[in-house]
Amino acid sequence: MQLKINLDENVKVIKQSLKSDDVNFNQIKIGDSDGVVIFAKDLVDKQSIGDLIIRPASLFKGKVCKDSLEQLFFYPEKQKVTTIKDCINQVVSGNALLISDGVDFAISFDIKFFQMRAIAEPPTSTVIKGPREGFVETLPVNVSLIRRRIKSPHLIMENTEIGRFSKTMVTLCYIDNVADKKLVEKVRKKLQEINIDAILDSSYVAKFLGDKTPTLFKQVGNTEKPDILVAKILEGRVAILVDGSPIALTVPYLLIEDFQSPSDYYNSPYSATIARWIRMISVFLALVLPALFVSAELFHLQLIPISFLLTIVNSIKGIPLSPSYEMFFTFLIFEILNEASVRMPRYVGMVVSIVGGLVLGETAVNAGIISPPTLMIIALSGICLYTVPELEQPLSFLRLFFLVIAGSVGIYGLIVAVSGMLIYLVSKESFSAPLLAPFTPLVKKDLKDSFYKGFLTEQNSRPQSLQNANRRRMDEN
Amino acid sequence: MKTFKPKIALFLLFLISILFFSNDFGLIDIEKTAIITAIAIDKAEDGDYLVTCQIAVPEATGAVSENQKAQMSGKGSTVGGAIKTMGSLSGWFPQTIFCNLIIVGNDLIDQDVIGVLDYFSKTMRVQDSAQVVLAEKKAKDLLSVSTPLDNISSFAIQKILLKNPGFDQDVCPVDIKTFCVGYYGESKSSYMPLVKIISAEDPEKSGDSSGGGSGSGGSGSEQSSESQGDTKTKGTNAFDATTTALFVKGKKVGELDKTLTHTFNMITKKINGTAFSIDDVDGVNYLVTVKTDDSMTCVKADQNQLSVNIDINLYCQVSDQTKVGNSSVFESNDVMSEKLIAIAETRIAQNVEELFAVIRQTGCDFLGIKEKLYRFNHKQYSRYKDNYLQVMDTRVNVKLQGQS
Amino acid sequence: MKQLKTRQICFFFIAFMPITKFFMVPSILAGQAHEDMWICSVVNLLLDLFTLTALTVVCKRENTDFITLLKNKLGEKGAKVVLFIYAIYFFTKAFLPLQEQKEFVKLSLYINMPTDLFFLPFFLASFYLCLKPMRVFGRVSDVLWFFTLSGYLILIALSFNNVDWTSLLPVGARGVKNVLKGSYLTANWWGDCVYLMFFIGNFAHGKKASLKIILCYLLSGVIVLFAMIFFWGTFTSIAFQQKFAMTQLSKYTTVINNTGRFDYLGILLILFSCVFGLALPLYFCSSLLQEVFPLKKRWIIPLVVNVLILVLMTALNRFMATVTLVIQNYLSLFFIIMANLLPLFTLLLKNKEKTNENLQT
Repeated sequence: MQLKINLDENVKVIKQSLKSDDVNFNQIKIGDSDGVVIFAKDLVDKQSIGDLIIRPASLFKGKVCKDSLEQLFFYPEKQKVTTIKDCINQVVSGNALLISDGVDFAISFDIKFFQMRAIAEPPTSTVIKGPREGFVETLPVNVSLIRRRIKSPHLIMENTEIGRFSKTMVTLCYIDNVADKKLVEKVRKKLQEINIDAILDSSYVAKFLGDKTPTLFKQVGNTEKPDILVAKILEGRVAILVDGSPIALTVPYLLIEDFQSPSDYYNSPYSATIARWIRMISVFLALVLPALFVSAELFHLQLIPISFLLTIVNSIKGIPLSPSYEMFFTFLIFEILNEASVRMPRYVGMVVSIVGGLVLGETAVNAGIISPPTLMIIALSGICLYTVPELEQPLSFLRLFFLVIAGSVGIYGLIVAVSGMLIYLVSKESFSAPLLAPFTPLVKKDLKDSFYKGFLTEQNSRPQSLQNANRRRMDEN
Repeated sequence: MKTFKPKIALFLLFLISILFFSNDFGLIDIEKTAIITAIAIDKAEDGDYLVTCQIAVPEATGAVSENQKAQMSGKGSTVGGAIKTMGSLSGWFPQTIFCNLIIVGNDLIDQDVIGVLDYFSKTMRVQDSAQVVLAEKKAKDLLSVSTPLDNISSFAIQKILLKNPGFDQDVCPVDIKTFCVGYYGESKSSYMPLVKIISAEDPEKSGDSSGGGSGSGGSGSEQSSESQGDTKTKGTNAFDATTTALFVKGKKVGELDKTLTHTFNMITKKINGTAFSIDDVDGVNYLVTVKTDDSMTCVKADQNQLSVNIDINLYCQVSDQTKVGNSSVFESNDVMSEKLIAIAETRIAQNVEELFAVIRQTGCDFLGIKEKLYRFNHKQYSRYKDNYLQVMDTRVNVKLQGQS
Repeated sequence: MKQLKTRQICFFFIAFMPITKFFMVPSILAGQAHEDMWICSVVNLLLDLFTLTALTVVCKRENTDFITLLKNKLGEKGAKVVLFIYAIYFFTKAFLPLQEQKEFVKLSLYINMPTDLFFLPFFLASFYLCLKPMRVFGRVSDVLWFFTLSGYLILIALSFNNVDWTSLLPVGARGVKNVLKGSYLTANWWGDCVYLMFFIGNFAHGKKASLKIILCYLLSGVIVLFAMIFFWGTFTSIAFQQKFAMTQLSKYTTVINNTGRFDYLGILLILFSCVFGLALPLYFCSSLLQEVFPLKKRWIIPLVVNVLILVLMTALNRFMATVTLVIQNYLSLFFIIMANLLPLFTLLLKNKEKTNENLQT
């Protein structure tokens, strides 16, 4: 519906759609004509309304006509709006709207202002050396953090609104002569196909980017750090930023990404390589240690040295649960403590650690409910799990799955289960990139930044595990 | 398939959960498991096998040193059957995978002992890397002995079977596999240490076997348990395994004493780092340490002659010397003198000749001469395989070199 | 797009060719040819290498897959008959290795005698694998060769000290007859070169691809030969009694007495590769049956194949000794024909279209 020349008619129609109390209809005078400034009072900068709209309007002499209204305001981020629908959209988006009597259009002013979080180091990826900036919930700030790092016309930001109600701004970000065009097109298409009422976080978008069938491992990478995001874009990936979310998404995703800590790139390659191996070993231990221990206790005593076996038999004497039950319930307690410590307010969190870790553990052992080796195995496995926090959720599930399998049919079942996991992983792909690359399919050149961390000066080309338009990263000399 | 997948997953989850939570698919609780550390096999009065197992029973205190030992016995017409009987009557599951010692009773040496050991060789439930020894008397007596060497007597026996540098290499340990390899080999000869109980305080004296619970009556099992934590009850017994029992086709045919066992080790095994005594050389007793043992046995055969050459090359050093009597040539020196070398060489050569005499006398080819004949002189094998012990020409060449 | 790479074919042979020969084969050969047991394996290996060389020629020449080549030559029905026979071959080829694996799991891995249920998870994994495309095997090979080699090296390193090298002498004393009989009896476990026939046209034949494939097969064969030599050198006269060779090799290391059976680490690594290696014939059996009886629901045939072999194994459990003897003595010729002789006829298969193109150019 088009705006009319009559102010009252226009205001009446808009008022019918914007019934909310937080929308202000402020009557003003523009020379001899009447006008109304409409805005959502908690989303705009009221000072700017005064300075940029009301002051020039009050200084205007004469009658408002089409040309004079447009030339009256010098603010660069203004926009001419001609339909009622657009007027409403502008107001709910946080812009101020000026409608004047005698003209059939309105002017929208982008003077959004709302409280936002300061840029801080993200808690999920802290570094000792290296940049400490992290993304915030405000999209323009996040975009600026990227743009500050890539000052190139090839950095492309494409904005899309997703969400029927939320109208969340989603930005597709890539380097046009590095990212594969087919990949960009595929992501763009997937984003366009999203049909949902609201996008509240980037994880909503991630669900639509991956396979439609539920998958155990994620298929979209994420990061909270602009330096990491920029590095990924430079490797040929496409990033997706979502307004309201401090977590940026990247595709394609390779499983090895989660083993690559930000600090690996700022430390010596030797220590980074060792740290990476430790992470890999830790994940392996986290997954199979409880299962191996239970199956050894139940079915394969020969795996345990006799002196340790005697210690185990000593420690489990009088414990009412079988080894598998014992491990299962200790696992359950660990997960409960974990869940509680995440959910609880920070000041209570400390109490949970003390009560859970010390009191509960110590007392349970003394009371003869669980044995010290079991407690130690679960604790070690839990700690190992958090060396790669990004994989905590799928690994935690797999850990339980392996435990149940090993407790049921022993080590052969465990081997078969791990084989099943391998079949699953090798057959998964994220935007045509195999999840387990560069290990399988083996890409020798990419092992430099996966199995070990090579010197930066040796990494001449972009990862070949990903499809990218431009392979060369630096000249060899 | 899309609608089928979740149903399959749910079914599998259900199945696995049942398996996990029912937890009863032939499972044996670790606490009901008898961790058998040694097995002693004797002949029962009625001709059956009497198998006695030593079990490590941990105490609830958590200290391994406080472990108790217990014994279970079972009888059966076969060794495997006897172990089964033992388990079914005691309620404990006999876990033999940790058994590292098999003791054969002296009353079984008249028959083919492979009848006893074959079970251990074939079954996957016993490691055939377990040591096998012959008891001087009843096998189960060895398990009942209280010794200060270890809380569990079988562990004490295993200790003396280990090859430890610095010790005399007077024991010739053998595991089930090696014994069976000898038995099934060309020469059908094998050996095992003969374990005697001695007094720990005076090794010359025989020890007292505490002999707890020998001679189980009927077909059944018996259990005994004793705490070995208290040192006061440990007794003063130790074990001697320096004698080696020789077997041909599984039957005992003779023995090697301490000296010959040592000589046998010198020829067949590398005894680097071990020591041996040379007594009374001009009134001085010497302890000589072997730095390098470079000995080898060589079998050569042609149409006319079969010769067995034994070259013993030792690089030695004097570790200790003690003056006895009125000797005047006592010098504190770690380099072997010419005279000492000459005497040592003569004595070792004599010992080797004695070994050959034992081989000829007993027919036990523990040096593997027939095996070497088969491997290295295969063309002449058929010529000599039946009479090689009689026709072989033996040559011994001992060479000692002093090292500082 | 090609499903596999030359590298993956090479790794495929290293990962899967040796592992099934680590269990019963050494003891069967020890019983037959004693110290010459390794020569039996040399005979099998040479036979395989000959067939493999012929197949690499076809791989280099043809860009079309084997099934299409077969259809072009024999027509739809003729091709289906050949594929069906090969499906039967793979099914029978899977039987004995699966049975020995089951026995191994039951007798060696578990301290108490478990039920057959403990081997059931294998068939679930096998069924799942059978649903996947061929490239999964390529990708799996990229990692599994490392597990196979590591497991093998752990076991070999631990057993090194206990090997009596002189026990391999005299060479050839047992006679040609015994050696050939040994080769014949173990033909079931060999013949892995036949897999290359089904990879024809499915992989990019890069530079020196044929040589690389042949060398990798040779390497796998050498691994097996070393295993045989180590096995005989460790057990000599009692080798025929040792059912599951690889698990027995390393337990005589003195450190094992103090540390527990940590050599099981190597055994577990090999078992991990074994899951895939044993599922391999079932995978090819399912794929070929799918070609012969194209069903829309692609999961039916893998399910039937896996259930059928499970049922057969359970039903014949009591007569397994007889079944083993029958397969070894009467079916070995069938295995040799299917794995070593028939693949040579692929040399006669030429893609009609390609030939025409060549004529035109």
